[in-house]
Amino acid sequence: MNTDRLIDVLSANLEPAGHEQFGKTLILAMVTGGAAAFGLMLATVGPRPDLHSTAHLEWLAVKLLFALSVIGTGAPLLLRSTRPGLENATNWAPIFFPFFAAIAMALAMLLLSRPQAWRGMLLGANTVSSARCLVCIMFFAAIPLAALIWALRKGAPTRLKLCGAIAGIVAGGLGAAAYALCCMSDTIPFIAVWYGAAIVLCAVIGAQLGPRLLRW
Amino acid sequence: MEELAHSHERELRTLMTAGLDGDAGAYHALLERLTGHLRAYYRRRFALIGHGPTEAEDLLQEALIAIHTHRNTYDPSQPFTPWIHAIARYKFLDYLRKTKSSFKDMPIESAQELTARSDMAAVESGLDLQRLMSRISSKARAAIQCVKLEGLSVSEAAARCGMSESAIKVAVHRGLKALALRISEGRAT
Repeated sequence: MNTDRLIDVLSANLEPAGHEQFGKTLILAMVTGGAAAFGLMLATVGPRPDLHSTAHLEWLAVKLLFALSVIGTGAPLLLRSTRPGLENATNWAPIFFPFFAAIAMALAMLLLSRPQAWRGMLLGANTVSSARCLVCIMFFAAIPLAALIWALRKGAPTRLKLCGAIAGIVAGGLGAAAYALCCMSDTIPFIAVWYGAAIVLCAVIGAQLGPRLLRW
Repeated sequence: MEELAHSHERELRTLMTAGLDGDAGAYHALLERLTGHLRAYYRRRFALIGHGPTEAEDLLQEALIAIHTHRNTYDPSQPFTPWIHAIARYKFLDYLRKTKSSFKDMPIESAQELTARSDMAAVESGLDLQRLMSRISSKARAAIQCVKLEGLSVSEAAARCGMSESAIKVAVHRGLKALALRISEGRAT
């Protein structure tokens, strides 16, 4: 095939194209993925029964604040990772800030408490809390991750591992937001360690999927 | 050199912005200019890994289709040269991955290196458009045939194919993406 012919073909009957559409697609994927994660939580484990009491609503707010700050820092970076040419002009470090902040607060809380209380603070309400947290967040994050990958395939990510990892973090944040409603463990160290670990695992899965599913 | 890069950037960006607004003439001119730069870019890199100009032309065509189908990822408030360079480089690295070529010492390059050279000496690529077209869905083939090869308007094509106008637009877009995929698959096997 002659390249000049290809250029004629590509520019024939050219349609206008705007760059705003992709951002909307990404938001749509986050909203539907988040709604699906929430629905999945209601359909399976369900919200914790004593959610309405004031003390627990405060803890719910803390958990949601962490999840939403992960989503809030991740989403703009996710959009940038699908735009060629911004790779070197982007500071990717803010993606870690919510995790650093949570770990710093957790360390402060531990240092302010007696060492005998540490075990309970780190492992949560009962012996299976930590495993339940990991499994539930990753389970709830699965649909958001699939929705995000579907959306990202319409973009043009040039660093597929990085893009997949950020998608995993945002999906993990959405899964954590859904899990916050059924989480029985009300301590900052528990949130920092187990919510953080679950989201990091989602990032690892995203980084593995990226090079396979996001090629274009 | 710096001066030249700036003038390239200005001209290409103006053409791209007009193209995104639907100006086919500006877009055609843009693709012609980019073809020269991309050809020089790929030939230099292919020479380094011992591949010839025909493979470079194949990848150039794949890159042009990718630029076209992903043109909505360019934000006009951002510089244009880094955008086009990132796509050119991504397509080259993707080619290396697919063909399993080893090229460990890919030199660090600046985005301006892309527009520094231009090569207008075309060679026929090994790809046959009609043969590639036979391997995409019949809907997409009909839409591309009408809109892109025969130059019918979208509404004329819609009437002929018995599809809605938006279905025609979607079929053309998907068809071009599928064509690019067929090109890269054809190379991997």
